[in-house]
Amino acid sequence: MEFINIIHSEISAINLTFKLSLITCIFLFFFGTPIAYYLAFKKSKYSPLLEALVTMPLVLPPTVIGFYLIVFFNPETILGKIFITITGNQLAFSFNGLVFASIIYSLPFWVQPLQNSFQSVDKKVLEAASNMGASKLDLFNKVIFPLCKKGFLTSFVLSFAHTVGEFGIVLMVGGNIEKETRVLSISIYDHVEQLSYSNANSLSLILIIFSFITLLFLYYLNNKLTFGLKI
Amino acid sequence: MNGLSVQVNGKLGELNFNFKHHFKNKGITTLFGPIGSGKSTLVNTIGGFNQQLKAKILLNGTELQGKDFIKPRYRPIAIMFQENRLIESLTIMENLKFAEDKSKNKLCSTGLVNKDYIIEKLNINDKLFKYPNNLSTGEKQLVSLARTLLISSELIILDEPTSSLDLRTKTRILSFLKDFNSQFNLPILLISHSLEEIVQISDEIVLINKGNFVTSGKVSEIMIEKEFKNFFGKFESGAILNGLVIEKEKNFNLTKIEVENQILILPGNFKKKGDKIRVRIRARDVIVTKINLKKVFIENVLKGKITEIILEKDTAFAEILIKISTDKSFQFFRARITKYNLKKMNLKIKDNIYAHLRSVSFDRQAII
Repeated sequence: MEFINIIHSEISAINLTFKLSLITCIFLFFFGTPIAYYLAFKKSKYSPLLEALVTMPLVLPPTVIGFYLIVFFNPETILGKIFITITGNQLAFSFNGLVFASIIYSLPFWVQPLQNSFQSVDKKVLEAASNMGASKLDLFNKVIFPLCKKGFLTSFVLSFAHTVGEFGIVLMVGGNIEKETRVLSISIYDHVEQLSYSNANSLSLILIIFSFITLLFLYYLNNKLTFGLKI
Repeated sequence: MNGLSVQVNGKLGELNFNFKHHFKNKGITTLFGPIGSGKSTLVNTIGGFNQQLKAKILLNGTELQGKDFIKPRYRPIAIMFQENRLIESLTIMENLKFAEDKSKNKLCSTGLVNKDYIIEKLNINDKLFKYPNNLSTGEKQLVSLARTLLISSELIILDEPTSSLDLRTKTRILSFLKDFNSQFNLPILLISHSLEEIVQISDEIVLINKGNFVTSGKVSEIMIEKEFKNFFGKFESGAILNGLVIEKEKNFNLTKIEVENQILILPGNFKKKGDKIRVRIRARDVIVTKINLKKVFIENVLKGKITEIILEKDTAFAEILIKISTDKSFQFFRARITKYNLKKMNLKIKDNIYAHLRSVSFDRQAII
């Protein structure tokens, strides 16, 4: 009963967390996919540079990214002004700012699985399809996308789960404003700070169960998504 | 000018390409060469998939590559690549439809071949709703061939189209390709290093070696050329004879054919009376004498004239080019005998001789 009460009282944090993750994934689909495509199919001298930039969030402490985002997107700067023009809010302490930070932070989780998946598509099959008269769009829709469904699923699940579990960058950029930027991970931190361990425990359990079910779902579906012969 | 003009130059890996040839706009031409001679690279270049070599390609007067570069998808060429390259996410039927639909984008003047006709002829009816992963390698190759024939095109290139097929299917498919070629009047460029394939269906052969054009010509002419011989070594060197089925001996399962007014008897039941037939005679299976031994022990004897004697350096053997002829036509084949026999029988150019063919010398696979 206490468990349900806590969920009820934290409903806005739960809502916000999933809303943030979903929106981040939608943006990543449109921005991360072309990057993965470029890295997989159009190798150029700039590819290593792009690859390194995309992977940076994996190795940097989230606080570093958060810090520079706040600095560069300060409302006084040009970037900050552009951000306000586009989103209507400043980056710091806003939900929009949180989405933007999450996109950057989760970018490698979207790009890398998808890039690997694109790279596993046999170029020779694409050549044969081109010989049949297929356009680039045909190739993507009929060959690459169906063959890379697993890659998209993996990218989606990892990015989504990663955004759900985000802490440092949320704290740096978003702070702790209820119904605006207080997501689950912040809420747990809050409860621990106030020594209300049972609340922290309930929310942590929610995250553990959620993460487990998501990953289970991912690996289950990955086994299913094979054409013809089950391998 | 109609046909395919190819000029490819440049270095790629270990090959130094210097290939120039005009392929005719009809019949079946085989591009023949040893493994690693650059055949597939040439195919990729013609298709527009290899831009590392300097190439000038014209098809039926339209420049596909040279000053401009026409994208692969617009080139009116249908290519069956060596690997099956089927789209795994589509069923066989969808794979076929894909080829049929998308190739409407090509710069092409010829109409589409009927899908049902191809499906029936290649006998893939029961595979249509399966995915490529559920097919055997041979079945995939048949589907890949079907898909290629459905591409709207002015030229069909088949790179080793029967490499994964069993002997019976191979013979059926080759026979079908020959019919397809004459029925739809679509020129076929066959890439092969199987002598059987060439003998069965080619009208012309183009030889390529180390990226270079070697020679080209009609099958029966080129089989006796030295360049061709060098490709195979001594044992494969031989000749093709064109003949006509004149009688079938059902009781003994024999087929009688006529070659330049002379009769040959083949074991086996091939074709129908009145059909044209090609047989391959290997040089090592020919025994040459000045007298006719027919009555003694060998059934098949051809009377001919020696036109060339080549002594093999550092071996015990010599090769003789034999001409068999009537008033109107002539054909050649080769015999390989020892230098000792040559001397003992005192064989010279222009000598009339009898060529005794061992019954095994008819290669069953070479008969269509």
